[in-house]
Amino acid sequence: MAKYALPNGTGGLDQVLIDLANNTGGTANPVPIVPLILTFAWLFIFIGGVSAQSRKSGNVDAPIWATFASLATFMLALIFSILSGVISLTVLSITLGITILSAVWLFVTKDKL
Amino acid sequence: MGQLKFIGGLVLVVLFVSAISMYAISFASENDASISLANDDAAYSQISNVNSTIETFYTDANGSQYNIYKSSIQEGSDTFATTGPFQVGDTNVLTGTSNAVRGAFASIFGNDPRFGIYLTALIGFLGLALALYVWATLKGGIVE
Repeated sequence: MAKYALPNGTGGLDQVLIDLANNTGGTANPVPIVPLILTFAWLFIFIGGVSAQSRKSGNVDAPIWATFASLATFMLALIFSILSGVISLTVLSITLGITILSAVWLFVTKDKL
Repeated sequence: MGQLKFIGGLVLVVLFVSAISMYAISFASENDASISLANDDAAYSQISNVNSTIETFYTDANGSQYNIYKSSIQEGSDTFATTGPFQVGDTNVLTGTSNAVRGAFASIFGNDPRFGIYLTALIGFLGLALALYVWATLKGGIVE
């Protein structure tokens, strides 16, 4: 017996996302699919960028990679916000907050303008 | 990192927050999005204050510019007698940055006062760093 309700694909991919986010299948274990997607995107860009830069140049510019990752995640969250039920206002606000904090880290610690 | 770079960094923070918040709100209105940042009262009220500090900073920066033009250095001295000419809109750019950071914390933690200590510590540190940079510029030294 499946622990989570399987999504119905007849409504298209966007309806699959909405069903997963709201767990309209009827089980008691909602899957926070959109926050997990956003977290994956942020970590993928940040860790990938930092490791690639470390491999090529030996130096790591973590603030700028955090800002890149935060901006890309925020853009993704904005796209998700178009459809109703995919993302909540809380998650969107949190992505904006993390983007602002990454930018503060970048601009305050940067030696060159 | 000198005073000009530090203040430039704070100004860029204010401009960045203003730009990204306006972009997000315009994106939501133009695409008829179901979720808009303008509906988040806790964060939006703080971030909307950031825009007003930009114009105030422009006025203060012009005032400090004229103070430097009108100032004089005493014979035998290397710098001005007071820090007045070096206070380039410090209060307003720091207020704008603190509003931006306060908006970020409000969007993540809401209005929970238990997390206010982090914001207080960060703003206090930025204010202290700014004051040390002004003093270092007057003295002619560097800030470690």
